[in-house]
Amino acid sequence: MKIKRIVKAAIGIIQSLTAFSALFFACCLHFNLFNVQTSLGSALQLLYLHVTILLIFGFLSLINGVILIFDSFEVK
Amino acid sequence: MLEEKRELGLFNTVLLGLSGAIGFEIFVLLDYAYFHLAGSGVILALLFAGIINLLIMLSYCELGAAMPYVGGEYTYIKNAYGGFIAFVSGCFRWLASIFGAALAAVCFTQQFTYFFSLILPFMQGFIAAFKPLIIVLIVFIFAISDIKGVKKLGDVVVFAFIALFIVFITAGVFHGTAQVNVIPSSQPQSLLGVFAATVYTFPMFFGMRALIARAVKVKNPEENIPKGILLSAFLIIPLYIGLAYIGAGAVSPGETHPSPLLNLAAERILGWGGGILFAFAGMVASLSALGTSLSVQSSIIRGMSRDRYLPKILLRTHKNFGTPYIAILTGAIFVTFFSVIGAVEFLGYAASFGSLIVFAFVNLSLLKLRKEKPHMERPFKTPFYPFTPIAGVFMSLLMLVSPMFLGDVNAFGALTSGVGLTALALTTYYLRMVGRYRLQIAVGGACLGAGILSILAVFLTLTGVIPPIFPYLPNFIILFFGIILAAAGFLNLTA
Repeated sequence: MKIKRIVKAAIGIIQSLTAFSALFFACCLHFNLFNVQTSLGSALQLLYLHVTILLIFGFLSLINGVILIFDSFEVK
Repeated sequence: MLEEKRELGLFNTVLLGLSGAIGFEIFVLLDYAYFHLAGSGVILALLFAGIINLLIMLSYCELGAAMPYVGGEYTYIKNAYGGFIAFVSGCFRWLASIFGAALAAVCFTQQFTYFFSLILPFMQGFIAAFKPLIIVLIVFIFAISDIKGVKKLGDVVVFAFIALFIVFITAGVFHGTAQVNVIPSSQPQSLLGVFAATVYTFPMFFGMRALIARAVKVKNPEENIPKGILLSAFLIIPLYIGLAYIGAGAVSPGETHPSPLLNLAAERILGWGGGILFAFAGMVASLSALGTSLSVQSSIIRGMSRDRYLPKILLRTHKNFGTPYIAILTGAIFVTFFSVIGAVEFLGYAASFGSLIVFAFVNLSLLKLRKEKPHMERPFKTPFYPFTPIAGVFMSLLMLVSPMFLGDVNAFGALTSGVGLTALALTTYYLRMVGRYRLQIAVGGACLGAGILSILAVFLTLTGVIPPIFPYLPNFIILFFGIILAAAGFLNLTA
């Protein structure tokens, strides 16, 4: 049970971190922070599709990761 | 039911509607509509926006006269559809307040910069460089004054604005302006521009629903609420059209425009003092709207927190001032975020996004209540029923989605952000109301599916079946993301 708890917490934390990275990247793309749009110029014909996909995956991952972390604290 | 002393007569009711409608929006929204969307066609766009607003307000007249209670739109929608839809509409109303407050903060810095460009030109560069800092300071000063319970600007400001606008229009007529083509050319591009400008300038009008929020204080509400709404709508349309007409006559749409349209027009018509006066008026209007929006957003989230949709901590009041400081600070953080990163054009659309959805819900509520509660007492009945509320729903939804089809990138950005925040609000609702376990299963399943899809996408990209979806991301990152998604989803599903 202790191993399951550790695995849940670890996966939850990794997933929350990847979610934050995805959301941060979506913000960078959308608001052209650090000139991301300019530096990736040729690959961004579908900018809003990419931002939308990143937002959906990001929020989904964040919720899932947070639930896993909470769950790992509650495993008896 | 909460009852307050009814003390506002018809005159004060009209004043309430006007104080809601006359605000900073005219100073900030007219620019983009005039210089980028429609040119002098903005005059026609304002007429259309005013008429559409009037159409929607007819539903407010009927519901406001029939239910002059605390809660306004939230009450009507809750009566018609119950808790969940009321919660969703509350979220949209909150979003509209947040984006409105952010827009007000941006408008303040715009007017502040212009003000200093006139009195201390050498300071202009310095102020422009510190705009984000000024926004953060202004938002938090107002949040703190709201926490301390400082009173808002009074009705005197409304009279001052009306007087200022009438002086501007009269001076413009006597000063003489260039010929303005009110009817744009019949080319599709011009007509689409007018339509986009109609959507963009629409938020200038709908502030008059502030009257509904204080319906509980109106004397003889059965008569005074419909009259107050309709009179303020009829007064505001010619006033705004007059302002736009004189502004368009004084400043050509082709001009480079470092200054806001109305300020520039006032400077040309009334001289240096006119520019100063308009900049000052713009600052006062922005600050007043910022304070009001911060209060409104806090009252909305407290209401939803009281109904157990949001965490109880939002109801906590300050031990010295008795004000809801957590709710105010929560809103202030969102307002700061959006005002620092959001451009005026984006915030303009975003502010109307939430309101348009609430308008659609209010019109739908009227239709439902007429059908399900036919014997309910209705002192005012919307004319041409059911066409008026149906047209209200149709126009609200059309105005919501049309800017994207017109190819305006700001509108798409605003809608994406609105949908993202709504998803966050709905998640909160399900976490509170449905229970965590069921959400865990649902999100776990979605994550497992999304993880498998990501891994499959990498495999198909590597074998050359499909082109890369994110060409700038290496495949191993997408694969790692997919494996984590699938593993986490599996763990939640089997919890």
